[in-house]
Amino acid sequence: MRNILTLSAAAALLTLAACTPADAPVEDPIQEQEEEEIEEVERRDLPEGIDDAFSQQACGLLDQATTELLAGASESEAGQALIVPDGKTDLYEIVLPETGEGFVTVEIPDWMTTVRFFADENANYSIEDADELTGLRQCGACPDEPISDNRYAFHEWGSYTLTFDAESPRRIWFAVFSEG
Amino acid sequence: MISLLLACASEPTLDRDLWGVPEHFPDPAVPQDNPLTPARVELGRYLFYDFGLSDTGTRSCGICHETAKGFTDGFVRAVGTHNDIHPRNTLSVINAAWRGELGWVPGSNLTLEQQLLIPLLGEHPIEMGMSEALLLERINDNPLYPPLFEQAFGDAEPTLEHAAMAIAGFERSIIGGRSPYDAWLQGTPLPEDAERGRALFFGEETQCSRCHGGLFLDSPTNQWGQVTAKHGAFNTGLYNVDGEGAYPETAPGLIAKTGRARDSGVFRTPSLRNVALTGPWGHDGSVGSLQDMLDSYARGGRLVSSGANPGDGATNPHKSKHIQGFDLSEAQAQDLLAFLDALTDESLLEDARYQSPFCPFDINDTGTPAEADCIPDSRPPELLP
Repeated sequence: MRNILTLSAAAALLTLAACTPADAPVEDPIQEQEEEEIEEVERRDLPEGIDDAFSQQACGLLDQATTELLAGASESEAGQALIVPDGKTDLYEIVLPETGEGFVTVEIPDWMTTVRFFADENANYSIEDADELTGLRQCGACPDEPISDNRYAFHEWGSYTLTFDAESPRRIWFAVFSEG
Repeated sequence: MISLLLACASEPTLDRDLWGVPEHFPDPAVPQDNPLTPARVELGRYLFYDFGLSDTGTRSCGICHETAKGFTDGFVRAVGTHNDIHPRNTLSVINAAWRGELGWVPGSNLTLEQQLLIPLLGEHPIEMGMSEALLLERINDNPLYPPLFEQAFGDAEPTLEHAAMAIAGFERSIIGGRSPYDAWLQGTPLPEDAERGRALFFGEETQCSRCHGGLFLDSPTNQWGQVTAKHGAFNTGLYNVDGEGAYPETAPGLIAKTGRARDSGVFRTPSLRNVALTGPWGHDGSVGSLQDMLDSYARGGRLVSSGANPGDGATNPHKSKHIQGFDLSEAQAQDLLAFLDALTDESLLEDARYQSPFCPFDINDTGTPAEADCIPDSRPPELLP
């Protein structure tokens, strides 16, 4: 069982603090409120948490064994680590190099595919050439767990580079599902 | 007598003018029993682009050999209809009519007609996921095909053999010989940077052409630039997983066939024609840019510092003697890249003869295919997106 299931009260408070959209602006409270409202409207069509089968699936994987995947140390080495959101392997432990950023190739095998990523809350990642549909949402998937949730739309099939930034933990719990 | 038989077997049956064979290209090797005819090539074009030739309706030959990508797919390693990852990167089919070896691993001795059955029917990995029965069922159920088979083979009843012959014929008709480099071969100067890159490419300093020589830049050459064999196969020092020359288990090279240690990491040299379009590069698609590829060669082998296969390819004991490394300034690297760009035949990308006859998805979706110069998607209704 992962240690995130035994959070201390202090950590739980921190977790609650983290359970807001990662990209929410902070400078202007009015703008913040407006943008949150817009975001909320958009989110109504995109289920999360208990209403979402993929979130439930991801939460169900929390105590499952992971497949270790060693990320590349540079974009040039992203091709050394492949993920296919194919329903065969859903769950990984991404191991980032000591040097900092980590690079993984996601192979998208079909057109107009939406892929769900669930990760440790402190993992920061991005994918070029894909549309981020919801932004990184903390605790959206499993309200009691510090798991972030993100949705990307891939318009074309192909190989995409998933970049973890250097602030991420060295070992990242990472689940991937294709919504089709 | 044997040489007479060989001469007959490879006797060209291709009409150079009809198929647009460039003047500076030799006659291609077209099998005596499968001459290129317009009817066969047209049938082959339909089959090549038909999504119905994959079990899930999500793959066609043409989607993995896409025109805009130099007839490759853009993947690191292709993914089949059941999400199997192919162990190697997808090769181009351009100028396949002149290729004696197919695939990355040398010694396959397959004709195009035989080779294309591997992605169609193969199970390890599953690429298009077809069986012969399903393939014939799909073709039989499609009213487009009886007249095309009749015109191509004089028999409206489709067979796997005829389908393979038609697809191979279409592939042989895909000819790329109108790049700036081809123009240079015929007397037109290259842009200055590409010309400097050409001199570097064929020069002793980089020795690129010792492996990428000849008209198709896939033949080994000697120090005088003479082609010594039609195709070469080398270990280029991309990996050294165990410090003793091993490549990753997923694609170990010719050693998988021969069992000889010295064949570890040995793969056929691909043609560099249209190379700027065909990334990612390398036998396993693990080289993300041509600059990275140049860096690997300049270093005398690639250093993989992370991931599951770390190691220094420069110290791979089975590495080709031509991969010795070289010094290259940034400007020289740019010149070499400009030369590689000059190997692109842009006319190929727009040539209507090589395009899919079927409508793109969006035209299908609008329900107005009759207005477009294309044929509605021929997949069975249950396989349409």
